[in-house]
Amino acid sequence: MKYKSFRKALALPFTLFLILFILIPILFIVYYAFTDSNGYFTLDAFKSFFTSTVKLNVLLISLLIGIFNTVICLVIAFPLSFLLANPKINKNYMLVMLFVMPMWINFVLRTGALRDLLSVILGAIGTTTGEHPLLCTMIGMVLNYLPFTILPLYSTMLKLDHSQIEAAQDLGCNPFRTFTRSIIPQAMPGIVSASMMVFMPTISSYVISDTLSEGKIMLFGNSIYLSFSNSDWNGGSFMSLLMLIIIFLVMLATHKFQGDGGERRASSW
Amino acid sequence: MNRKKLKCIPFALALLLLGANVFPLEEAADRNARILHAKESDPILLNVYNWDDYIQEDEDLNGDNDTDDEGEQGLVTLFEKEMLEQGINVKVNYSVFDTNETMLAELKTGKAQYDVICPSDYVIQKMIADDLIQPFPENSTPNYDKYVSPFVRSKIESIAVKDKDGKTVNVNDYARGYMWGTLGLLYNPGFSGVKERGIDEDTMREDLSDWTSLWSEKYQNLLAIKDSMRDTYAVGIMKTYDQDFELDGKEYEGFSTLKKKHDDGTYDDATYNEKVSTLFNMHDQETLDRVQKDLQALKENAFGFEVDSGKTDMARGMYFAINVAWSGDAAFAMDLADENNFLHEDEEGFEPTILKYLLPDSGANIWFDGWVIPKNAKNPELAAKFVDFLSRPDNAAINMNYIGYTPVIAGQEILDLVRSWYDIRYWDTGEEDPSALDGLTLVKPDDVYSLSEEEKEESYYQKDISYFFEGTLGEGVDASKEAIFCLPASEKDRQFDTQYPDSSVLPRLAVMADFGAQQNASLLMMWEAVKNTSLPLWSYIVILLAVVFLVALAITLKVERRHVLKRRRERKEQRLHSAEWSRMLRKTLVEGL
Repeated sequence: MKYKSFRKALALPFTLFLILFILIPILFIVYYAFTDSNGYFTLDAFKSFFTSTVKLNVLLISLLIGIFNTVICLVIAFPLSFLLANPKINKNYMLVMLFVMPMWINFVLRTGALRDLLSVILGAIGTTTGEHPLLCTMIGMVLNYLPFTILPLYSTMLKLDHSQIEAAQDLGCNPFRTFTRSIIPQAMPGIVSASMMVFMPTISSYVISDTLSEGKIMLFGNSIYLSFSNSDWNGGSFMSLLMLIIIFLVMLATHKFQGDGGERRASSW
Repeated sequence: MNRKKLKCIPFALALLLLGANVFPLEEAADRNARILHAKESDPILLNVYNWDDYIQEDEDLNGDNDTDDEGEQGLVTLFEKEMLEQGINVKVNYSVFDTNETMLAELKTGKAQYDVICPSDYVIQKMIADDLIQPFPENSTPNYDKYVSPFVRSKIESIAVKDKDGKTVNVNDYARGYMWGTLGLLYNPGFSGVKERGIDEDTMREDLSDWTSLWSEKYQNLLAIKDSMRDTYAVGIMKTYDQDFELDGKEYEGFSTLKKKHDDGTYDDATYNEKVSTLFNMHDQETLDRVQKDLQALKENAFGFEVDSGKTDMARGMYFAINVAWSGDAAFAMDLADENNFLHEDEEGFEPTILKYLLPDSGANIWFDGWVIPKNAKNPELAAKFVDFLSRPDNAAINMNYIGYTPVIAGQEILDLVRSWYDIRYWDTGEEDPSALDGLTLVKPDDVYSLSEEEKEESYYQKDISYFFEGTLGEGVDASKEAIFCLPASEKDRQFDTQYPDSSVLPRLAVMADFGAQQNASLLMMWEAVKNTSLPLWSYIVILLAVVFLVALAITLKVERRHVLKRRRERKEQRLHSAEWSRMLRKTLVEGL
């Protein structure tokens, strides 16, 4: 009995941490989202967000860029991590490290360097980065979030049940059916956690779009920043809250898939 | 200073006669005792809130890992030292902010307590209106009063501000200027993209003298604008109201017409400035809508937006050739580019980057940052002392040397510093050497442009900035003689012209006022609309179709799955059913047999 209460006490610091640094800030956001500048309850922020075509458009574009980024990252990372997880091809863990290494360089620096690089490349074909803000942003997004996709996929791929794949082939599945019926369902937990690690940060990202689109593309993160930096705390808080809700919904929707994986669920690290 | 010395002489003589040459010693002892005494007392905290990188700081120049040596101490440390000598133990608590808005938000919550803050002009106006700041104690800043440039003082005074009771107040009572400058165009005539389009330097300069050129296809993708709401609005309105226009059934004269009427003498300087300022500060909803349209077009034409990266990009000669820039940043970029040119001079194929700055003809924004004392300040007197300390010309010169912006302080020390930087006659020694002009020909400032590169080497032009130094150089010194600079012709439109605009452009410089809470919100909405990326109509249709398709797919799959399940169930039942039948059949058969 005593031992049990001691164990409970061990959780106390973490509970405190949760309350102090996660719960209370969220409560602050909720408070600001539904009050006006004098602290009275109001739904102004709610109304002005959903009546502003500009803000809705920013959200739409952010969602689109988020979806595209996730899809592109998955398309690139899926075969890559499949190959990396194959011990015949990748005999050394170093190869994985090489793909993941950029993650450890500060991403503001990486983005700045990419801007210069893109400028040189586009300059060589007679155009500039300023003329293709969307293209440059997408390249930056994919490069930045690719490691976050490779890592969880790689760790699920390591645990693929190869006998099941072989069985599928033996039982008459063509390669495509093997892929859709055996490999994808097995890799689903990795796909879900990879998507989660790309989709949400993309929407709220701010430096990448700002630097690489030369300030021409405004994502949801930029919009929130703009509100806060112009002392519209209530509007900014409402948008932050909205983002939290979207994250929550996405998590809820993907929970089912992750549950399928059961104990095979991939951890991202 | 001089007068003080004079007063001392008879006194010292008398003491000398008495054989009391211990006086200096006694004074020193006295001073030390005072410092010691002050050191023992509890330090008074002075909370200073300033822009980042906006004061000379402690710097380890000789690399001995401390900043105690002469010349290494920043102004804050020097202030503390000086106060100690006066018997006051002050500890300056120096913090920095990066936008006016964050500072204002922090101040409004009332949690932060500062003694002295350095916001921009329009924020000072807002702070007075919101009753957040108090006037400076009377006669608390003698040095400032003596040395502030009369030009800046009158500009500050020209801002019409009402306090919370609706009474018009003089901003000079509430604020002490710190740095000032303009918002103009920094350009790089040697930029590869400019050369490719066959635009030479003279054409470029003439084009850029007109704000509307930023909208022309000629400079498409060659310019960067500020990613800052108010500054870009200032650019937009210069285009929107460049020509005569109609608003609410009333006819107005545009910036170009005003300029013409000023040139032909219809408007004198004061009237012209007033009209430009009024037009520049229009912010009704209709104007905002018009400016929004123009800014959206500008965004299409521009390479992009920047706030801080522009100056270094320009100095490296990369990305864009034209940058809407604050004068201080422009001077900084020029210095950086010059340094770079100097380092790579000898390399083969190296093209130096020579940046220039100009203020377009139809008008431009003039701004200043100033010190204010918040209502809840604990030590307003000490805050005033701090401001006064920074306003002493010798300290202002140190500051200018360090941060590169132009202080509002004039005075002999500033003049000496600026001369040693720019005036040919003072270059080497800081002392006047008229022979430096030997062999050079004097040309009129406007004729500089027609000179060839070789001719520029042998010419100089004169520039009179007495408007700035007037009345601050001490009694009997005539600023209109002293403040005439001789500059090499190649320096036209460069650092000096950037930091001190020509007196002829002064009438067209307008201060940008605060628009008030409601219009600021509208301005923010307009700005968001400008920054927003709108997709072509077909893409919205595609998105809609995609969503409909996905939803339909999901529903079909679900329905199908239900069907499959149902069929499976039915089959099972059937199987059970038939099994039962066969069992019964078998049973009857067996029984029958």
